[in-house]
Amino acid sequence: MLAAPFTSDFLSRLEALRLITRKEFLGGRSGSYSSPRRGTSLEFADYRRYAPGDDLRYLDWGIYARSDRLYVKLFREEVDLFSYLFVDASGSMGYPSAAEKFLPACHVALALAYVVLANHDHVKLHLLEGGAARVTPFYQGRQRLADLIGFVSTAAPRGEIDLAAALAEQLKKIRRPGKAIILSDFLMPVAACQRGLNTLRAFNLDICVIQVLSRQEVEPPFARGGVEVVDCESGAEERLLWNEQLRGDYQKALERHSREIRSFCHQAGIHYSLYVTDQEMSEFVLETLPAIGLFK
Amino acid sequence: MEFLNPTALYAFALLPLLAIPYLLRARPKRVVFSSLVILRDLIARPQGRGWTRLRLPPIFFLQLLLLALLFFTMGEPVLSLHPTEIALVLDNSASMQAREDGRSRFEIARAEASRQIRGLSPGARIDFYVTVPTLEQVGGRGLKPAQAQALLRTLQPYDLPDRGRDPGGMLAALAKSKNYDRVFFITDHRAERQDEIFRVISVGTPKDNVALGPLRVAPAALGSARLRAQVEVRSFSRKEEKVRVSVNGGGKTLASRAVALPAGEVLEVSFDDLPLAADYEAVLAVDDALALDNRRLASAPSARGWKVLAVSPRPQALQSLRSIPGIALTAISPADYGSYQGRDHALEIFHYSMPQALPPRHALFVLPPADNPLAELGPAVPEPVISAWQAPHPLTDYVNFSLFRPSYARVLAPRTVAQAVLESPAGALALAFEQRGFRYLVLGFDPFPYLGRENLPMSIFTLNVLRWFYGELDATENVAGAPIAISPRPQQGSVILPNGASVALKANATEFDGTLFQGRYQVIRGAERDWFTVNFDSAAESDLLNPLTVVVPEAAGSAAVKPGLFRLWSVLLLAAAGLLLLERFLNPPSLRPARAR
Repeated sequence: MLAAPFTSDFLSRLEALRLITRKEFLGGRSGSYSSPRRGTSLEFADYRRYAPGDDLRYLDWGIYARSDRLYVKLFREEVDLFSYLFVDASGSMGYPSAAEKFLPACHVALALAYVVLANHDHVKLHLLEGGAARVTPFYQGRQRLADLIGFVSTAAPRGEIDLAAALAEQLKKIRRPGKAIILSDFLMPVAACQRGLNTLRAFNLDICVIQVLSRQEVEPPFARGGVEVVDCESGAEERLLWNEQLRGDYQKALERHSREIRSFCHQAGIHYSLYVTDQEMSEFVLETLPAIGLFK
Repeated sequence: MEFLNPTALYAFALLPLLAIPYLLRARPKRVVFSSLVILRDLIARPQGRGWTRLRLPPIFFLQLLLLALLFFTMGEPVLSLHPTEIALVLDNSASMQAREDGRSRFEIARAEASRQIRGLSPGARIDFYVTVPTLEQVGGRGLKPAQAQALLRTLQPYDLPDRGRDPGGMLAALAKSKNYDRVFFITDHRAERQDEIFRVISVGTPKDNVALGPLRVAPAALGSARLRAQVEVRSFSRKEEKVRVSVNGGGKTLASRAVALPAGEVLEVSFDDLPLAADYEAVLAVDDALALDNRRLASAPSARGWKVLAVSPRPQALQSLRSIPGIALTAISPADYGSYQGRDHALEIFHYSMPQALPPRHALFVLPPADNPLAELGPAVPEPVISAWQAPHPLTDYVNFSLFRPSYARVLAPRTVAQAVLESPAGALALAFEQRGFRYLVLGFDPFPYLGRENLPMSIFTLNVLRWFYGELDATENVAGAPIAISPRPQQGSVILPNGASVALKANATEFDGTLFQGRYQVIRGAERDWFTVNFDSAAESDLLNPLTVVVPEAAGSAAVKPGLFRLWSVLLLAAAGLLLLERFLNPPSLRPARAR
C-alpha cells in the first residue's frame, strides 16, 4: 500500500538526512547526538585543570608551554536519539477521505521514521485514535520500516480525541527524553492545541509540529446557499448560509487559526510546518522540513 | 396607458416561479466536514445563520424586476390620449352566427362593441362599419356614443362570407383614408398583433362544425323522369361525426340517410328516385356551432326552364329533339330570330345559320355559313372517318366512333381559340370553346334529326352535346352575395326576400344583387312569378376551427400614429436589456454555485 512514494531513490535521499535536536539528551548508547555529558567524541567541549589520574593523552601541551599549567581537554559525549512520532488518527483526519489526508500524514511520519532508522536511532510511532492509542515498540535500523508500514496500514482514522489527554496518556510511558514530532490537523480550539503542546514541553521533549490539512479544508467545496455542516467526529450539526463572503471569511479564519498555532510554537521553541496534502510528499519532506531546521 | 397585448399580462402569474430555484437553493444541503471549530466562529455572525428564514438575495429582486419588465413589455403598453375619432368595424359575416355558449358570436361582438363605446369619452365620435357585403359605413358619420349604441342594436349578420382574405389590409386602407384615433375591429378571427391604433377584439373559440356543400337535383340521366339528389357533407370537425342528411320537398321529408363523417373529410350523399317538387332542401341534423350551413336549397330541374331555341332554315329537321324528355323546343327560321332574341332560352341551336353576334347564352352552331366568325369551313368530306377525339371528354363519352358516320361534313379551321373535340384525317369536325361563362360548340357535320336507337352513335353524341350544355346549367347555383340573373321586363317589380321583406325592382333590370341571406327569393313582375334559391357556400366560413388570422400591416399603424400615442415597448426593452447586463455583472456565471461535492 505504501510502496509508491517510498521508492529507492526517495529512500536514499532520506538516508542522507539527519534529524536536528535543539536539546541535549542523555542517551543510552553512543550515537551521533550530543549529550550534556562529557565523553570521548571528537567535538571539543571545555578545559579543566589536570588532576592526577587523568589520561595524559588529553593534556593540552600548547597551554602548558604558554602558561606552564596543565589542562586537559574535555569532549562532548554523543549518544543515540529516541524519537516519538505522534500521528493524529481521529475522525477529522479522514476528511474528505483517509487517502487524501490521513494517508499522506502517515507517509510523512514514515519518511521521518526512516530518517531516524537510517541513523540507527530509535523511533516509536503513536497513533492517537479515538479511545485507546496504538503504539509500536522502539524500532532501530532501516529494515524496520516494513514493520512501521505494516503498523500504519492497519490504521483508520476514527473517533474524537482530546489532544492533551491523549498525549499525556502516552507520555506517561516515555522513559527517555528525545525528539517528539506530532502530525495533526489541529482543527480544535487553539487553547486545546496549546494544552497538548505544553504537555509535550513539560516532558522536556524537543518538539516538532506538522499541521496536516487537505485542500478541501482550505477551500471548502460547498455550494452557495443553505448548508448543513456535520462534524465528522462529533456528529454535531451547524447550518449556515454559504456564499462568497462566508467562503472568504472561512479562509481568513483558518489562516488565523494556523497562524496562532505557529505563533505559539515559535514562542515555545517548537518547529512548525503546514502540510497541505495536495503538495507532493517528497517535496515537503526533502525541501520544506529542512527549511524549518528539522533536518541537516 | 393601455396594453396592445393584454393577454401577455397573464404572464405575471408566473413571477412567483422565480422564487422556486431560490427556495430550493435555500434548503440546506447536508455536508460532512472535518471540524466545525472554524465554522462556528462564522456562524456566530448574523449573516451566517441567514438561511433559517427566507432570505432572498438582492439579485433575486433584480431578476424579478427584469422579468416583470419583460412581461410588461410583452403586454405592449402604449401611452395614449383619450381617443375621440373612433372607427368601430363589426364583422357581420356568416361565421359570426356561430353559437358560443348559447349566444351567437355576433351578439357577443355587439356586447363587446357596446362595452368599448361605454369606455369612450362623451365627446368621442364614432363611425360604424360592417365588413360584408363590402366594408361600408353604416348609420352616418360621427355618431355620438348614445347614437352608436342605438345603431348597434339594429345591426345583424348576413349569410355572406368575408369579403377578402386580408382584413388587416382592409383596416390599413380604412385608417389611411380617414384619420382615426382608434380603429376597433370586432371579429371572430385571430389577431397576430395589435397596434397603437388598430385593436382587434376576437370573439369566439374554435368549434367543430359540419356543413352541407352544393345540392344538385337532376334527372338520373338526360331524358329520364327520375330525379336524383346529390349533396356534399363537409366535416370541419376534429372527430368523426354521425349525422343525418334529409332531403325535403313540398313540405315533407322525401329521403333521409345517416352517415358517419370522418374528421376533415368530405362525403357525397346521393338520394335516388325523388318525386318532383317545386324546390328541394337538404337538411343536416347535427348539433354543431353554425346552423346556417346545415341547410341547402335547390330548385327542381323543371323549374329552371330547360328551353331550347332552334334557328334553322329547315326547322322541321330539329323537331325530332322534342322526343327527348324535358326539352322544350322552339324552332324558328333565321328571319324570326330577332323577335326571339333575348328570351330566356337555356340553349340556342343555330342550324345552317349564324347570328350577327355571339348570343349571351350557351349555343350550338351546326355547319354555320362560310362567313361566320367562329370557324373557316374547309372542303367537304363525304362520310368522314373520325380519326381522333378528345378523351375523356363529356362530348365523346360512350360514343363508338368506329360506327360514327356522318353522311356529310366540312372541315373546320378555328378563327378563335377553340378546342378540337373531333377530328377526321382532313381536319377538325367539332370545335368547343367558352366565352364569358357560356359554352359554344361548332359542328362541321349535321347530327340532326335525332333518330334515337336508329342511329345510336349519333344519338349518343347528340345527348352528350345536350348534357354538356345541360350539365353546365345544372352546375350553376345562386350563391349568397352574388347577383341573380333575371330576364328583363319592361315593368317594375319587387323581390320578396327569405325573411319576408320586399325590395323594389327597377324596370328592365337584368339582375338582383341583394342576396344577403340564404333562402328562397321570389321575383314578382305583374302576374309573372319567378323563384330563385340562394345558398350560403363558403368553406372558409364554415371552418370554425381555423379562423383567418388578421395581420395588421407593420407600416399601417405607424403611418397613422398621431402625436400623443407612444409605444413604450422599445424603451422598456432597452431598460430590460440594461437590467440584464447589470444582472450579469453582479452575478457572473463564474460565481454561480458549483455542484457540491
